Amino acid sequence: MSRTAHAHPLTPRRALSFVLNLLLALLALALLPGRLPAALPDATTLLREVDRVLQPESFEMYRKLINIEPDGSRKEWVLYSVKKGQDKILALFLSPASDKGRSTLRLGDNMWLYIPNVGKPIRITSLQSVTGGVFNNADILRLDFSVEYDAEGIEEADGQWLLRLKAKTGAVAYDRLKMWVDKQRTVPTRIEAYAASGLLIKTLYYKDVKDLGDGVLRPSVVETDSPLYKGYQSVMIWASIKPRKLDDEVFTLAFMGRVEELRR
Amino acid sequence: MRPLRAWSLVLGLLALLPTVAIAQSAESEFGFDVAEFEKAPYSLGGLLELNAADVTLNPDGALYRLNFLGQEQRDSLHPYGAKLQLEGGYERGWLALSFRVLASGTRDELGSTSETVVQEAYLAAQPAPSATVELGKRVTKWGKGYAWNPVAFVDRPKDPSDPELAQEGFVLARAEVIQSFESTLRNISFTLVLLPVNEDVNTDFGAEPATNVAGKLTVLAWDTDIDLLALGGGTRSSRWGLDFSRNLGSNVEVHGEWARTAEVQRPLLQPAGSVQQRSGPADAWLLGLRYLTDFELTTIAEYYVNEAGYTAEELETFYRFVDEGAVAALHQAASPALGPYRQPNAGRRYGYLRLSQKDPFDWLYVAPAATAIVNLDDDSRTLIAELGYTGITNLELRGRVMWLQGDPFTEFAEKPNARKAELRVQWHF
Repeated sequence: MSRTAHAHPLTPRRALSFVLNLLLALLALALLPGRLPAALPDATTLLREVDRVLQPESFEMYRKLINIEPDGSRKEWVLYSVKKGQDKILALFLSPASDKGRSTLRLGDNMWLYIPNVGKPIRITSLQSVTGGVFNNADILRLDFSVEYDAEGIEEADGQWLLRLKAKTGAVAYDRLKMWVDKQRTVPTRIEAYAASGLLIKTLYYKDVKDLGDGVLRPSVVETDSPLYKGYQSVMIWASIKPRKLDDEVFTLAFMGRVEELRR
Repeated sequence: MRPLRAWSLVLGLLALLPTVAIAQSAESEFGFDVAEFEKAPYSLGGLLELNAADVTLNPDGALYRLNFLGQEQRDSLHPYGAKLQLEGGYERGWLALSFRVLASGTRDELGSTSETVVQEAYLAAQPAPSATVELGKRVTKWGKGYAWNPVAFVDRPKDPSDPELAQEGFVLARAEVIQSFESTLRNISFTLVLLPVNEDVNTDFGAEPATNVAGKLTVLAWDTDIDLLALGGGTRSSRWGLDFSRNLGSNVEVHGEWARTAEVQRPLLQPAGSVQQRSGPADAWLLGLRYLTDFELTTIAEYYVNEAGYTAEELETFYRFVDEGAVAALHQAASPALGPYRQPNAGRRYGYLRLSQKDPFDWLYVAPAATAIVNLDDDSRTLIAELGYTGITNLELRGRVMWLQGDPFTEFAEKPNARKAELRVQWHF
C-alpha cells in the first residue's frame, strides 16, 4: 500500500507552534553542555599541551622554595635554573649563604649534587631532597610530565579535566599521578602523587597564574603538603621564566662548579 | 679561656637559637623580588665556626706514646677553638679570580695553636662552557667513594670520619674540555693537570723537583659515570685507575674505584727492630652503595682494600715494638721512616657503614647519624654517633661522639684517643 503525502496549509496557529518548538529546541541545545559529557580530549595530547604551557623547551628561571613548619617558622632557598630539551635541567643555589654555590644536575633519570666544599659531583636519587622538607629532588628538578609519565586515562571532574598518569619506568619518583587540569588555561590546578603501593605521597596545588615573562603564562606558585609530613608545607614560587639557548656542555658534571657563569 | 667556659659559650649560643627561630617565623607572607639576586662581578662569603671537645685519651695506645713522647701522661684534653673561612671571587668577561682562606685557632691544656691557610686561590679562563683553564692553588677531587678515594691521585687524603671537610689544594695548572652528544654516550670530558714540585711549592707532594702530569677522561654513557685516570712522570710513582657510579633506581646508587700504583715502597718493621723495605706494584679498590629507604634512612656502605697497607700481624708487630720498646725504640717508631705505620687507615681492608635518618619523627632539618669504620683484618673500629640540625637559616649545628675500640695491638685500639665528644656551631654568611 502506498502512502500519500498530504500538504498542510500554514495557518497562524501552526506557525506559532513551529516557532515555540524551535525556541524550545534552541533552549535545550543551550543547556546541553552543562548536562551531558563534552567530548574528551586525547589524554596524551592534553598532557603535552600542559607541558608546553608550563615551560618552554629551553629556558632559564628564578625560583624560591619555602619550607614552613607547623609553628610557622620557615626556611627559604633561591635557585637559578636552566633547562634544555626534554631531559636536561641544572639548578644553582643562590641563597641562603650556607647552600650558596651548590648545584644539582639532572639528565633523564640521572641526578647529581655538587657541593663547593666537597668539590665534586655526587650521585643523588630522585626521592632524596637536597633541601629537606616536602619537595624532593624530582620536584625541584622536574622534567616535562610527558617525558616521565604515560597518560592512561582522562575524565571530567569538578569542571576540569582529570588526567591519570602512570610512570614510564621504575626510576620515576612517583608511580602514579592524578592531575586536575584547568580547561581554559590548560595548566594543572592540583596533582596527587602516589607510590606504587597506592599510598598518597603528596599533593601539589598550582596557583596564581600570571605572565612570568616573554609570554609564559602559568601558575607562579606551587604549594604542597604530604600526609607523611603532617602540619608541614612547602611552597615553590616562580619569579621569571625566559626562553634561552644553551650549549649542551652546560649540562655536564664538569660544568656543575661553573653554573654562575650563565647568569648575566 | 678555661675549657668549661668554652663549652658554656657554645651551649649559650645554642640557647639563643629559639629566639632566632621565633624572629624568622614572624616574617611576612611569601614574597620574591628577583632583583635582589642580580649578579654582581664580585662575591664574598664564608663561615665562622666555634667548636669545643672533650677528649678521653688512651695512654695505653701505641700512638699516644709516640704523639706525647717525653710529656707528662694525661687522661683527657679539652680543646676549644674557632675557625674563620673567607671565600670570594671577582669576574670580568670570561676571566674569574677565586679564593678561599681558612684561619683557625685551638687552645687546650697543652697550649694554643693557630694558622692561616690559603686553601684555594686561582685564576680561571672560561671562554665557553666547553673549555676552561685554571692556574693557581686549586682543590682537585677525583673518585666516587665517600670515605676513601684510591683514584684521588692529585688530592690530599681525606679523613674518613669527616669526609666532607674542606681541604687545601695544590698549586697546579688545569685545563678541561667537554663535549656532549645526543646518543648513549651523553658526554665526554678530558682534564689535564700539571702539578709542579720544587722547594717553594707543593713540597708535600714529593721530595725532588719535578712536574707531575695527571689526566682524567670522564664519560657519561649507559647512564653510568665512568672515569679513567692516570698520574705519571713526576715525584710520585706512576699510577692509573678507573671509577664508576650509577643509579640502579630512584633510591639506590652504586659506585666503585680501582687504582694500580706501579711501585709502592713501604717500610716493614721486624720484631727485633730492623726495618726492611717492601716494594712492588699494588692495587687499591673500593665498592660502595648509597640506599634510601621509604622512611628516608640513607645508608652508605663501602668496602675498601689497599694492598699497600699493613696486615693485622704487621701492625701488631709495630704496636708491640712501641709497647715493649725502650726510649730509643720509641724515637725510631716516631721517625719519618716509619711514618706509614702512623697514617690514618694504615691497614689493608676496611668497611664503612653510615646510617643517617632525615627528619625523624617529622622533626624537619634534624639529622641523626651513626657511622662505623672497621678494620676488617683486626676487627678494631671507630663508632660515631652524630646529631645535626640545619633548621635555622645559615646556622649549622653538629654534636657527635666518637669511640675507638678494639683488642690490644689492633689499629683503632692503639690510637691516641679512646673517645671524643665534640660540639660545633657554624654560621654561614
